[in-house]
Amino acid sequence: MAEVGERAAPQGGSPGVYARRATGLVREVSPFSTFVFNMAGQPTSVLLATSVFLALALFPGGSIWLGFAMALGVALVISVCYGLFTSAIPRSGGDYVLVGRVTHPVIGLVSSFLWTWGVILSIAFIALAFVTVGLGPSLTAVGLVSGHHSLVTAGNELATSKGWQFGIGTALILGSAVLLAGGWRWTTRIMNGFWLLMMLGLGTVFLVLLFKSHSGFIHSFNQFAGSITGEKDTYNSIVANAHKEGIDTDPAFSMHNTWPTWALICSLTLFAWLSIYISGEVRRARDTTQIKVMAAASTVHVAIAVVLAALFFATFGHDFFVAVNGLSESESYPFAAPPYYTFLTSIAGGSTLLSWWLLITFAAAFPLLMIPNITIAVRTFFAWALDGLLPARFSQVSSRTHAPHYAIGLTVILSIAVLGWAVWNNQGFQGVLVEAVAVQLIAMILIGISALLLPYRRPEAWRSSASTRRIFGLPLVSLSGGLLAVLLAGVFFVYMHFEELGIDRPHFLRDVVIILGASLLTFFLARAARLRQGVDVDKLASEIPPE
Amino acid sequence: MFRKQPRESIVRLFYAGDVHGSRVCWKKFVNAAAHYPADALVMGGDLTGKALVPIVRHGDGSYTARVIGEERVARTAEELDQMQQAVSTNGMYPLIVDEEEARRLEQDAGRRERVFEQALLDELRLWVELADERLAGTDARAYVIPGNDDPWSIDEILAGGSSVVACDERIEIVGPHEMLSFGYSNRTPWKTPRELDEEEIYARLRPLAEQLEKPEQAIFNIHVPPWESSLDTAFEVDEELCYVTKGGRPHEVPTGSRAVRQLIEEMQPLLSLHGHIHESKGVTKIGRTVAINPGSDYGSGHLDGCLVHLAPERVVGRYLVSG
Repeated sequence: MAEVGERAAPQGGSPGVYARRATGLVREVSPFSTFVFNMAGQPTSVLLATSVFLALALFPGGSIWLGFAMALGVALVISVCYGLFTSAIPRSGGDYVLVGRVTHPVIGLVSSFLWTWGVILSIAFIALAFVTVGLGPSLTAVGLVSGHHSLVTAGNELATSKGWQFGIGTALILGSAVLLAGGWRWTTRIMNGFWLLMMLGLGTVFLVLLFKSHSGFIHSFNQFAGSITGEKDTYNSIVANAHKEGIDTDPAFSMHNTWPTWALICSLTLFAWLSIYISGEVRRARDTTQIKVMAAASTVHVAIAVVLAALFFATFGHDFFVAVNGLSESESYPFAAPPYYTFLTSIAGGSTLLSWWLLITFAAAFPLLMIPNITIAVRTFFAWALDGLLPARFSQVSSRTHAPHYAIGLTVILSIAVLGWAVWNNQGFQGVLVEAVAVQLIAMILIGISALLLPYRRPEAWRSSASTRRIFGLPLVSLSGGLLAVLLAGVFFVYMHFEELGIDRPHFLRDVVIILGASLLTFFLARAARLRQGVDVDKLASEIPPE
Repeated sequence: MFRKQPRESIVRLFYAGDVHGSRVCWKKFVNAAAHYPADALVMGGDLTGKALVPIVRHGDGSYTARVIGEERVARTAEELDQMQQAVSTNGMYPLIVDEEEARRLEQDAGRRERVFEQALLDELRLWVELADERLAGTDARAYVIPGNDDPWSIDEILAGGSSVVACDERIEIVGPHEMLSFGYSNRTPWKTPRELDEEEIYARLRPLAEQLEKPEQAIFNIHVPPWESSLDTAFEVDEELCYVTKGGRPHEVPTGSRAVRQLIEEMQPLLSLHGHIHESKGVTKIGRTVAINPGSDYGSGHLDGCLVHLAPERVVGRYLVSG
């Protein structure tokens, strides 16, 4: 008999667990590590650059503060729902198994196809945005701040040339894939580096804006802009031009425009749950720590965004910030670089070095986002191959690097093909992003519904999970799952309803039907092929009856 | 995937490991023979659970226990049954005690150790009886080895089965294949009962492998996976049993056995089956050998396993399943 090891501290009236020495009984993944893991999946800098910029430009009167609060609400419900669900079915590896085990393997596969399509679209979006949102505008901003016209030209060329968009986007996809193919150890180190860079960049923005007064910014801005516009007070002329173009720089609160603002913010606040992949056994994997850490990551992510957004309004000036974002697509806008916070902060700092630093730290967010997305797609293809739905070679791993090279290759080919489509179909990155978010919302709604059904479809798994708490007689996991499904259906509805968000409804519906058909076709083709080999796929996917 | 099945004699083998005291997983393992179906069942070690959970009986007839950090109360027989099931599904042993016994257990480490071992052995006896009963009248046998986590006292119980074949450090015949089995692991931070240094592992395995008449058609059933095979990747753990983090993330390292890898490279069996590292599920090739670790998710009540179809000289198909 092995030595009886440590004992969990008893709480309340019952003794704790008496654990013996056995492999895998680790204490815990440190909460900080889990926190970082969750933060990396949704870079705060991209949230600030895309969501605040688009919300102010497209939806006047929409409250970004209420949007942030509502998005945080959804993220917290996700934390509770996913935390409870994965404590009942741990090490599930995502929606494929969670949905499949509770509902039906075919529904799990449909959900997985939707999720994977969303991930492939996201990869294309990140690759495209790396050029059109990250490098191009930042290089132009550096050129403007430093007075190097060649950089302005280069930045504009990058942001507008389809060849550059495809070329650099492809290079980012290939670079991330090569990194993954080289093994996970180096990948995580480099991801950590990117995350640190991004956070240092945000810290720099915070410090620059904290110590820059509003009047100081007006002075710096006019000094900078004067050489381009030839005006002494470009700051106020931008506000005046906005008024002339019908932009209300101090619009009354509009709930109607707050809904799409909320949906835009949600596109980069719904993914703080990657830590479900890293759990110890017995004590931590199945208690409620995951929920707390996921919730903390979401809260800190949104809090940083709120603090920085508040600083933007305070330092840049509310009317000016609304005006400059509203004008950014019009001819009255005097600069070659869009008014992202990185550009305006560079002007506030008045330093070429600072503008280069902000370029680097902002650009770092894109590979940071790219790597987890490629990893998720690779893992899904790998899992399908293990389950016999794809040829077995997609589950093979390299004996040298231990990376699934075939699955990585498939991900790269699909991603580059979709990037090509995104670049040349003129929808722009926003359309790609919206479709990516919308199909992933469907998959997440299916997870919510599965969580709702868990105590009724899999009572034994629910009873052995971290919490069997009931509220109003209903299991908490069901309540959180139901609430999550409703909230995400709400976000989905907003994406479908507001055309300004960029969804192309007929195309989107066509894509969903194609994905649905492809998933069903894959399932039934694989089943027929395996039956010829003497293997019943239905039995492979079903639970072995214990009795 | 779409190749037509050639007409040759096929042995269907179902492999699983690391059930760690989960009764429902053991029942599924035994039933896998009829479910998939499979001609032989192979259990790759780590049968016993890791923790004991006292369920305290109170004077008012209620029962309380801490299950996965949650204080739970049972007031009816049905609720008590559900509480015991919840404990056992997590691979822990439920033990009903009165308040006085709960206090004694809390204060006396030696008593805890004895009670734990008794609970563990009683459960395993039940498992062997269950397998013998369900596999009686069929040709299927359950080939079972202990793993590094299993105490020595279980060997006698495994040896007492009729359909359960205890085969640690032995060679058994499975269809046209010889199967070599070995339950030890290399050293771990947990200092578990069946651990050996790499040299000792090789010194025990090599003579055993030399007894194989046709090593190229053989099956290896070795609890610990080969070193750096992608079947052995786990988060690094320090002497305090805490995860080692680098740059804020848990650090992944290979944890398999160099001796096992060397033996596979030298003997090149047809198939090599492994467990031990629950989170390192996968299939790889080492030379011509197909090596598999189906992982383990015993705590959810799902049995992770692998169905392998073997022709005399090749692996026809392998399917990782979660049943």
